[in-house]
Amino acid sequence: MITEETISAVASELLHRATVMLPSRVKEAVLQVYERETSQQARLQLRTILDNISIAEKCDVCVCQDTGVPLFYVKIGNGALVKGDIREAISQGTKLATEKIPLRQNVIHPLTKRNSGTNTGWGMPYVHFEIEPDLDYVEVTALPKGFGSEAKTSLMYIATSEDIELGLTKCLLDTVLSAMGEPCPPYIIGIGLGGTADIATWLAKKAFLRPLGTFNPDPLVAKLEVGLLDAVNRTGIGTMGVGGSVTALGVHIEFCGTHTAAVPVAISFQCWAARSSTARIYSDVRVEYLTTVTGVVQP
Amino acid sequence: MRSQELSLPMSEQTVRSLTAGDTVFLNGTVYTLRDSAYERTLTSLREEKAVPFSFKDGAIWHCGPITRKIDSGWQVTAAGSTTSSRFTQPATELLPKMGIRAIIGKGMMGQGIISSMRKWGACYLMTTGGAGAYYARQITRVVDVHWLDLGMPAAVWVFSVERLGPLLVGIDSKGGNFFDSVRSAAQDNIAATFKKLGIDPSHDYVWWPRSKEKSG
Repeated sequence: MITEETISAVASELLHRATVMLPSRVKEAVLQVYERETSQQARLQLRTILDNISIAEKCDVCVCQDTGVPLFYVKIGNGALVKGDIREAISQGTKLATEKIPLRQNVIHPLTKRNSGTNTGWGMPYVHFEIEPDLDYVEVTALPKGFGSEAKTSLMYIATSEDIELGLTKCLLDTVLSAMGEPCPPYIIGIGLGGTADIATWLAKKAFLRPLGTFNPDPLVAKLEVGLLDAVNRTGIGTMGVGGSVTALGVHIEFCGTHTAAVPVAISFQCWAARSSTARIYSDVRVEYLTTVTGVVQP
Repeated sequence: MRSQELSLPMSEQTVRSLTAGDTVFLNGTVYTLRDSAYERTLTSLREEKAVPFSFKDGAIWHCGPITRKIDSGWQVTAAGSTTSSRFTQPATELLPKMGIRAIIGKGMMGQGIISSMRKWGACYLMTTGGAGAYYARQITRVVDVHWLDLGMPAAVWVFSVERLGPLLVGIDSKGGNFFDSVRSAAQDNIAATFKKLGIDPSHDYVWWPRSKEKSG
């Protein structure tokens, strides 16, 4: 039986892993940019980023001081045996992690600006639930989201009288130009296509849960991802906007059916510190941490 | 790419010797300032109330650190920059009022601050975003903290720093903005992509939000 105590401990450890150790795929991608980059200004930025990643791991401190708002994605298998309140357990885990790691106390009330000091309260941590019919476990992902990249999220509707691919390309490049170095490139771009406004923005965020270097299983969409990544990198904005050959590490698109009149497009950014960590909790309380963090990053 | 080490407080002459694109390292005292602390500082100055710090000839840092209380005071575990573009307006007002010589942050600052930096002799220094663990090691001591009631990130932290950097001179006091050339190159590159793909740059594919042309 999966208890609140277990979920709480796992939630805390996931925040610890996510904020201190970047996934191997992200570290490898940043190192590759450093090896390929010829712009001296960009290489200096990348050198600092790589040094920073290894210092954080070695000293067990957060990679970035903006440890974001705590977002959790939970898949519950029909076969999983859970007792108690998952949301409350994750909230307790967040409080614990905030004090222990420590995380920055980021969560405030949106009107009064009062800081709870615990990264909880008024609906935070945000927990998104999905029910999966064939699983016998609970899978929890922590994705602490920093606001340098978050606050560049854009939403627009392209009329279906237009060519959607061209419209999307224009929207994306306009947004990328407007954002320049602010979302901390080399970033990952998440695009939510279709649905309604809320679905599109959710899909744009969900796109970050997909491991870096993977493509949408739909070949038409995968081809678009490759084309858009190339278009973004051709801007020459580069690491931290100082100019360089790589601006984005990946473009991830998720889509949903939509209305015949217009296609909602949500564009979201994930900074190079693409922090996330996933664990599975089985009904016999066995916990398996899935996110690989090994890998040397020293240039 | 010129690289040099500078001490704080900094003279106007020193600031004026810097050119956009240079790399600098800072020694001395820096003050973190962001969001609510900007608001409170400006409100106090407008109402002619005293603030518990002076930025004269000094450096402010758009930074909200992670700190931990220890027996001897405070320990900084991670400290890096927050996005500076949202402080263009308050920073432009504060710069001459407090005699600030350097603003440390990340990303670009708005065009509005450039003439102010030229007039008063100040510069914008850009850190690498997200490198909180890296810069925390360059903070040798937490000298003081003000306005902790604003919360850990928004309080004004006073740090002693040793070789804080590398910092890229983003805006100098001669009207130079390092990012102008990157932005204009990006505009040209995007225009070339539009041409290649057959995208008409003046065509509006977006229904909502309505563009200014369509709204009339």
